[in-house]
Amino acid sequence: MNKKFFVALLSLLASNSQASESLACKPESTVPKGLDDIAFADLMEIPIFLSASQQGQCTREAASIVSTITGEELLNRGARDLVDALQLIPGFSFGGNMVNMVGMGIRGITTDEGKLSVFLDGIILTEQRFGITGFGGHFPVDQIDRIEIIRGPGSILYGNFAELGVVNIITKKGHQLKGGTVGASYGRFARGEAGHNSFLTAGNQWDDFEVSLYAKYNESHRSDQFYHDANGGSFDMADYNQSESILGNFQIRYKDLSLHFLVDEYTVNSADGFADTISLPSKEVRNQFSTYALNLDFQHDVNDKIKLAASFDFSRQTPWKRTNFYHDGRAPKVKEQVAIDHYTFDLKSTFSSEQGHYLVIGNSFQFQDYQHQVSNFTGELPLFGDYTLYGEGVYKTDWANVLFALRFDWYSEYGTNVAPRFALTKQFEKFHYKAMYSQAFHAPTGANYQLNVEYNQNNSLNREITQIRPEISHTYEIELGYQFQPNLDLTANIFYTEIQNYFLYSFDENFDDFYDNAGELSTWGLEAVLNYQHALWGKLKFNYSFYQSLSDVTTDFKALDSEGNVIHAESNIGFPTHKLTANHNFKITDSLSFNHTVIFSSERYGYNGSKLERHKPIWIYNTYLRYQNAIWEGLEVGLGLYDVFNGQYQYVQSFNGSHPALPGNTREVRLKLSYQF
Amino acid sequence: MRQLNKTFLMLLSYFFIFLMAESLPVQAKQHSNERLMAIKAAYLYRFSLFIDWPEPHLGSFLICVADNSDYSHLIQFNLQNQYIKDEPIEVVSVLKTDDLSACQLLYIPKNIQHSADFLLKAKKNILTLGESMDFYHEQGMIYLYEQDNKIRFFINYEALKKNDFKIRAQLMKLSRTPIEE
Repeated sequence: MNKKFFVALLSLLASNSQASESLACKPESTVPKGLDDIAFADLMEIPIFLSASQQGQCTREAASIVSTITGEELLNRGARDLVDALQLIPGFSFGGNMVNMVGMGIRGITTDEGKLSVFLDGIILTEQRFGITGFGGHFPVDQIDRIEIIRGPGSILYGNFAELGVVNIITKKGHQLKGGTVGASYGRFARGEAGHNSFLTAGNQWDDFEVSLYAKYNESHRSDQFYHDANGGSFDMADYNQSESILGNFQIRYKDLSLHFLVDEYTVNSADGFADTISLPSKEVRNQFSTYALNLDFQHDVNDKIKLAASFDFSRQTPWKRTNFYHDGRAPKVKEQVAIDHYTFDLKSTFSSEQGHYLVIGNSFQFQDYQHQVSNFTGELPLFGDYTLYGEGVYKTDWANVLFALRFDWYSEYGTNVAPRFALTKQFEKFHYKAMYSQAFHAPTGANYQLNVEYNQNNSLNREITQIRPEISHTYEIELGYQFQPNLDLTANIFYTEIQNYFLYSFDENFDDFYDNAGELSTWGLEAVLNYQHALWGKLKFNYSFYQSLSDVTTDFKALDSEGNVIHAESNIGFPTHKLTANHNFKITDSLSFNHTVIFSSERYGYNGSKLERHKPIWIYNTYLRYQNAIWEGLEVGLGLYDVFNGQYQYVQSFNGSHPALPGNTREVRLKLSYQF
Repeated sequence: MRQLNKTFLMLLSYFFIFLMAESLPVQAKQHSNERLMAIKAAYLYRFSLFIDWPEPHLGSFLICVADNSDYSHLIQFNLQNQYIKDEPIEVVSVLKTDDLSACQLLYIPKNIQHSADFLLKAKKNILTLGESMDFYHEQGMIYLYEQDNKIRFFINYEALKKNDFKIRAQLMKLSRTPIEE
């Protein structure tokens, strides 16, 4: 680097030391860039002047790799469920688990076993027993205000399961609804019904009082293809492997106090079995996931610099309630039912300054009580408690917002842990950067604990194993973004994620199952998002993501040849190393829009029994025509044709569990009607 | 090879500095209430989308701002690359002595003391938006006002109907009568 260059750099820095930001948040974060997307109700909620705490909130939100999907985008795309919504997020891919369950991978690592938190209006929907989130006909996409996604760790503020990502579904509130919407949709594959759903949403606001209600019912078929196991068995998925979902969400707010009830019932039927053999013809297995939750929340602005928040959460979950349905005339039998009562008390205060510096200090206490209602487990589980103290502070300078955060956890069964987070971020007029490091601590769940207790009681090899230790992960991320023109911007980030003491669901020689710590698992990669808007041709969005596996000590997520040697070392099984998506929304008239999406996934590897299989690269093309205020005002008609070229995506199991790939959605036509009153 | 790498690194660094320099606010001074105008521009644009307009005739959708060139520049900046009915949006400042017949939307900011000077010249097919109490009392069509640190609006349905404007019922639901002090 020569002297002249260095002097030029220094003088640039010096001359711009007085540079000031025009707004605490860049205009588009408070006045969204998509002027034709923002609903009037949302426009009416934008504050003219940002308070110190609002500026602090802007800054905090900037200190992560974040994607946001608006409700309008979901409606334009004709998204059928959260899978359709999240398919376009860089780094997110979907893979199979077992018994017709579909999970997600982030940056090449499966999020099963407690690495992804999915919330609905702040209430966690991820099941607390194993930390698994089931996708496909489950989560609502109608009348959503927005989905906020942290692509990367969010443990400091979101807790135990937010190791690789956080998805927060935010529904519309009373002041945005001012009435309601009722709707239904019906879809068909070539060989049978794809699914049907119906929903109702209603709400209103009267001065300080606000109420909103959302209810939906959904039935879906995973596919209309034939499923073939590794031993010659097969069945027609047009007749089996359905799922059913009922969700109710009710919220009341009066001034600073809000009360929230949520009911989530998700049922997944399976004939594919746990591993390489189908359960037919003898039986089908039904797994039910129930969440009944209550949240009481109090948020008070003491003044424009100090904010207090207190909340109480209670949920009763009954995940993995397993019922066998026999085909030999026997009555259905509940084989396992475990209820988990989860209590959380949280107290938090935020201090902000006019300059945008802020400090958040909070603590929470939570505990889980497991009740084995139907179970072969004969022991007793302890009450799992966790006390958390956390703090996050940002100091703003002209060239960087310096963020430092710390989370202290004391787990009743696993000891203590301190997890730090550090970030430098800054937004200038057209350019922004972020550089972040986060550590996450993921403690085992009660089910992880229970399985090892059972193993020690029952294994036929008379082995004794210890309880698994918590996982610790380290994530490094750098993001750069530039707005070339008001209608063209590019954001790209690189990441490195390393998980130590990875939880691994394992089998011994006699197929008795247990949990083990598997050593280190790491990936690195690149993600990029390009947004372009043309006044006549509409909005274009391109996403690209790439990951490369770096280490997997046990090779459980690796493609192995017949001699057990690792091949295709750069990828983890189940997830493509390259993913490219493109979405285009075009307004034909003010009422009529056409949206289409292309999703490309590169090759994937998975197991069919003991045999390694290559799944070739796949292109999926979805289209949706949306007609608003059709015939009369408030009526909306949508027609979607999904997987137009019948690419037939398959959910490849994301670990070596011998389960063949699960066929997914094929070409589908879906009609949707809704009426806004 | 080492020389090439050095040159490449230098070029990359210069490019990086160029990007930063382009981003820093060293160009023309921005209006102090640019945030407020960004929100108002969004309102003007959204209202325009909810109205049934007559057939285009000028090649651009003209928004006229009463006697305030600073505001007209800010609104133009926020609405550049936006279209109404396939017409690019153009924003100009107008005086009460100007011919307003080419305007499709007339925006009368708060500082205009006598809205009637402009309203009387606004013929049929010009949508009027204003911010002063005087505008409200003079039966302007859409009144924008501030309440609780947010922008609210009142739609004078009769004034709209008199001028043959149709507006979506969904928008009428959000209209709120202002509290007069």
